[in-house]
Amino acid sequence: MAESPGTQSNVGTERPDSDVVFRVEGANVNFGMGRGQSNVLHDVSLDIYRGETLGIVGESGSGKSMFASALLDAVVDPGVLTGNITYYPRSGEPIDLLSLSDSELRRVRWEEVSMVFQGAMSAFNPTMNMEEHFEETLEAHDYDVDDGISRAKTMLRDLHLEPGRILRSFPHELSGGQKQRALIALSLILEPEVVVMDEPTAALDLLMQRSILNLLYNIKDKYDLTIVFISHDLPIVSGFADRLAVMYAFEFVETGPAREVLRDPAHPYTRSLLKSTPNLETPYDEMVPIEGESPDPVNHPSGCSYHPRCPIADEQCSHEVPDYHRVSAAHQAACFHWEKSADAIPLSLGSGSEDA
Amino acid sequence: MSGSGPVLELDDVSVHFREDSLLTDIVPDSVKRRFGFDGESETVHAVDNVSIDIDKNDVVALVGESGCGKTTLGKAAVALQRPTSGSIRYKGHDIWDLYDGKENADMDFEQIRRALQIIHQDPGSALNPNRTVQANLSSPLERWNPELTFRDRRDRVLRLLKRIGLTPAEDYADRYAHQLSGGEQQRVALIRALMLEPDVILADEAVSALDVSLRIEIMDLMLDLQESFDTSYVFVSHNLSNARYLAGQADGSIAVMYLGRIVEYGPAEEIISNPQHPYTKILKWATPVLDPEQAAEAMREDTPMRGIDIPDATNPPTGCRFHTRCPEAREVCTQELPEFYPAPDNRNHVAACYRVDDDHEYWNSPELEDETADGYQSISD
Repeated sequence: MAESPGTQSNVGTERPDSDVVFRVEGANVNFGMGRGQSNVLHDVSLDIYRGETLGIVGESGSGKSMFASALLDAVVDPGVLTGNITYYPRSGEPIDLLSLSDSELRRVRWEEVSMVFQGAMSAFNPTMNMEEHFEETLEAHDYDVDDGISRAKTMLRDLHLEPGRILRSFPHELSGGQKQRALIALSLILEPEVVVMDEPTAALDLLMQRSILNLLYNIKDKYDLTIVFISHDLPIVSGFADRLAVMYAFEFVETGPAREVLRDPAHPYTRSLLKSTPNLETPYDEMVPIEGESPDPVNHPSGCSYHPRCPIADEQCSHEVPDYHRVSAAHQAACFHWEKSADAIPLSLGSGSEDA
Repeated sequence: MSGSGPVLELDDVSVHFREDSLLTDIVPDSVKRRFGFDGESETVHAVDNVSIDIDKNDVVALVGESGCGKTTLGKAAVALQRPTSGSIRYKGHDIWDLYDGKENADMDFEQIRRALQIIHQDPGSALNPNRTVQANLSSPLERWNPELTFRDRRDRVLRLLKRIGLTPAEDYADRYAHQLSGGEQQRVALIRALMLEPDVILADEAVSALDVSLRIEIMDLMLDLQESFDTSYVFVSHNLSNARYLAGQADGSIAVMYLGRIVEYGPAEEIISNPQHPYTKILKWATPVLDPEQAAEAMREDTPMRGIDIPDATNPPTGCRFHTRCPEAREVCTQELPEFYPAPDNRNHVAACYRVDDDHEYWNSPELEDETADGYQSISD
């Protein structure tokens, strides 16, 4: 009997354990609903490595934000999170996140692992100026305020913002792009090791999104960050992420180095997702939508959750859950027939580079 | 009258908004002076001197950053925003003259209101949450076709729901908006706008809020319905890929806007494959590519622009408005507003940039001092 995706720990990876900063094992999130149990994170296991940029990609309602909340044990009531989530600080003992008290958890959040959400507009208090936001955060965590503010100024400058003016401003005086960058600076003010960004740029125009990604890419090494970047937009993370994890129906269906996952996607879902993405190069008739709809979290299909939409699904897929199959050293896909996917779903990445 | 000539003609349209704060009105001048408050209301130049035609069965995509005026221009085109100056003609009739009752034609403003429709970015809030899909779709018919019976309206709604693939239609007709997915809501909003068989629909970021995987599906539907309803779209988007997909397939055009002005205009494919204006090139740079090597290379480059933030529209830069961020700007660009120059191999493709003209004095003009527009050095350790 095959295991469900992700029950193995450290699947298909060739990296030593000492590089791991987060280890998620068998994480489940359930909500009790009138119609039954809603399983919105389904037995997910994933290692996140120190210093990497991990892109988590999936459609609305695929469970990617739930995964982000799980990383910080921040699943909202009445959701119940089970499984193991371990955080490995640079020095000191590993921390079992799900067993922490509220005050211990508060210290880990922001100081070790911080989070940037999509709604920069609602993250700020409209009655406080930016400097007060930074001060409040520093004080709440017993950090030296003067040091912190001077750090904030450097960071704002690195994000192409004029520190003096921004710190004096109230949220409504800043544009969306400025606010989002100020929020990124605020999330980094306590020098966290990991920053989890949930669609941080989705509300902005493309040019601002790209500019912010370029800035993040540039400051990442300076601030020694591990970035978990969540997006529904596969191409926007292309080039930014080192590694990609593709989510479908509350599970990771494919993970691997970004370059490989984009160049040679193995899971039929990843291939169809790329094919359905409007871009500037692909001929019109080669861009096609994915047939069907994502499954309901209450009535999960049996077998592979993608089989009702998959063009290469067979009998086996409808009753057996596929294990991760190793595509290459660090690249795996939860599909029995991944070797057939390239022929069944041909894909061109534009600029004449035909996929083999 | 119809059939010949454009459906909509925008001629030298400007839309300015005065930013009147409450203080301007109620605070006495002496107090303003004392606190150094100048009391001048500021004028936002949302759209300046835009001329553009929209033909029958046309798609015109307005593309640009947040705050470039694309939505305001779109709203002006469909008579939802009165321009500060300039004229907008619908089938030859000046819309705002009709509104003021100045023109005695065989047409009234109500007819125009009905012929020009809009779909919004967020379909969830465009549909009334307290009413069923049937009721939402029926209300425009009740308003404009009072002769129809309930049964007629029901039939028409069911027919359209089937047409857009929401089956079983009877089931969908009785649902409420929150019981539909985002893609389904946008499809309902689309047929709601089409219900009255309008000539032009303003689609304001109509697919941007949807999942990437759903965008093609909705745009395919828009193109499909365009054929059956003979409608034109004014498609407002910050995303060149979406603009290309919709306008390119309908043989439409793309107009690139920057700070209230059109800076480049032409056939969709031409704009994508042969952009002339430096700003269009930057928008193209910002459009993600699927190829991982190309994407990685673009990520390593700094933003090819001298400033990330768009300047204040209350006080737009002199000369070419893009000169404060333009990587190619020279002294001459700061002085005078460039007119449209035709692109070398296509006269329907124009760009407001001196670089398009090989003989322009631009090429002898001194380069601007090399500093970033927001006044910072780029990051260097």
